[in-house]
Amino acid sequence: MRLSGLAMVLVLAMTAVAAEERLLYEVDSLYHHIIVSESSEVRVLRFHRGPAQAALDSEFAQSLISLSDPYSLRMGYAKHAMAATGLLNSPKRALFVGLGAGTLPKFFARAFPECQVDVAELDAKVVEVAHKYFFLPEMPNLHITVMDGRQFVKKSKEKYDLVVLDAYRDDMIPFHLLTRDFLDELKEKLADNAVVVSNIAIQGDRQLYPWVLQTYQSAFATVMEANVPGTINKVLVARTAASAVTSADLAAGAKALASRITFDYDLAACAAAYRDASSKKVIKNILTDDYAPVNLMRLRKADEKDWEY
Amino acid sequence: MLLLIVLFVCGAVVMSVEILATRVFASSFGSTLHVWGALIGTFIGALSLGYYVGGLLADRWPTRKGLGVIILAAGALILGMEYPARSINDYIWAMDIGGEGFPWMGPLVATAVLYGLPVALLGIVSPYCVRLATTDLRGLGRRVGSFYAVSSLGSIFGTFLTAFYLVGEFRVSLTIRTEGVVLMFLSVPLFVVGFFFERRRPDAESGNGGDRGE
Repeated sequence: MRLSGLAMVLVLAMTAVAAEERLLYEVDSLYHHIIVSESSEVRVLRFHRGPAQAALDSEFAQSLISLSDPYSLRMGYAKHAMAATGLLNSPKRALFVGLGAGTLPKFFARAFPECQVDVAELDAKVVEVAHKYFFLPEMPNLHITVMDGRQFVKKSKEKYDLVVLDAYRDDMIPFHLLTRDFLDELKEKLADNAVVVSNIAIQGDRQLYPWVLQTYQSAFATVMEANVPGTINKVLVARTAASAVTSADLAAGAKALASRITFDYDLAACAAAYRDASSKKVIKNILTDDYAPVNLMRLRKADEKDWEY
Repeated sequence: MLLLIVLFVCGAVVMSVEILATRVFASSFGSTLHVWGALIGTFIGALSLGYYVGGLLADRWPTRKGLGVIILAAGALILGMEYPARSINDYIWAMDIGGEGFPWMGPLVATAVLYGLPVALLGIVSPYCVRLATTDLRGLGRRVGSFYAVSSLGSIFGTFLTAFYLVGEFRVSLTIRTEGVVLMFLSVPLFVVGFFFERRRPDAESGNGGDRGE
């Protein structure tokens, strides 16, 4: 009797989970296995391979939106990245590398209607899915190009006030978007006082993270770092020489931004999460086009050779 | 035995260079399916050309010296082309050959320019080894079979060693250059054997392919 009761509870719990999240769309694109699912309040984008159910069970989402308010930012890294855009002073041109569900470019393009926003996304299917399932509208100042991010930067003739790098998945990291060589190419396409925001989904105890940080330190005068609570994500905010970023700048910028636009989360708290990482001690090692074994480094634990604790 | 080592090493170097080429290409052409497709297709194409030409050459000059020259040239090209590789890629990239519609053309041309000739030279090695080892028809099937097997085992070794170890430990440029040097050293024993032990073989002097059944 007690056993069957337990089984009953289990069955009920399992149906509850199944009912809670249902699969809307699943497709193999050129570069991903795209899964769109929905629960009562949120719609989730995942790039997981393997059986759909396993991906649904997994916690790790590429992006998610609120169905009641598709414009609101729900991912922690996006909230922190948006806080850093307070540093911008009437930006004219911005570039996002990696679209995902498009929530952050969409939010930014609406927050800065005077700014032309370019998006470079490798996978055409991701663009399609963002429009169809994630309420990404056609916006006059949002221009999406299906192209490798590095190719886009090389080809671009613009000078960007903001570049957001959001193309690093935990299990599949494009090494050519992490090297010093790439950052140098990127710097040629930056306007004065431009801000580079980079979402890095790498576990902090792995060898790759100190290498990435060191690479940014070598390329930019200032590097600020925020750990996104409850995730492995870190958001880096970097600026080229002669215009250092301080915590006070970030706080003031976020305050100005919040006075102009309504945020449904604490923007000031996100801005306050940034710490100066410019002089954080890392053993001198940077990623270059010639040496960047990022997929191996992602698995290796960092030790005293990589990181001065 | 020497020919088996040659086949193994050449098979390994072809695949290793192919994998390393994807890393070299990423900085100019990105990391896309077009790059992988262009690289793999062009490598196989160059090998095919090498197999065909190799058959002709082996019948004409079936000597270990000849094979040594081929491998020395392949090694020198792999070593020499590594230095300007990224500049050449950037140059081809800037030409924007395929435009918007054919983004695979740039990487295709770059592969042909950088790796076409050395890979074709390495393709020559297999039929050349078969010719050199063939003095009579008995056991030919078994010998050719073992050559294919050893060459493919070399390719597997080169693939795994590169992907699982070399990329993680060494700079890409250093690895490619080292492989060029390895090939150049590999030609040395072929020259030694060719000059000291092969001098008076009628097989080597006859100069035509019709002497198989001796």
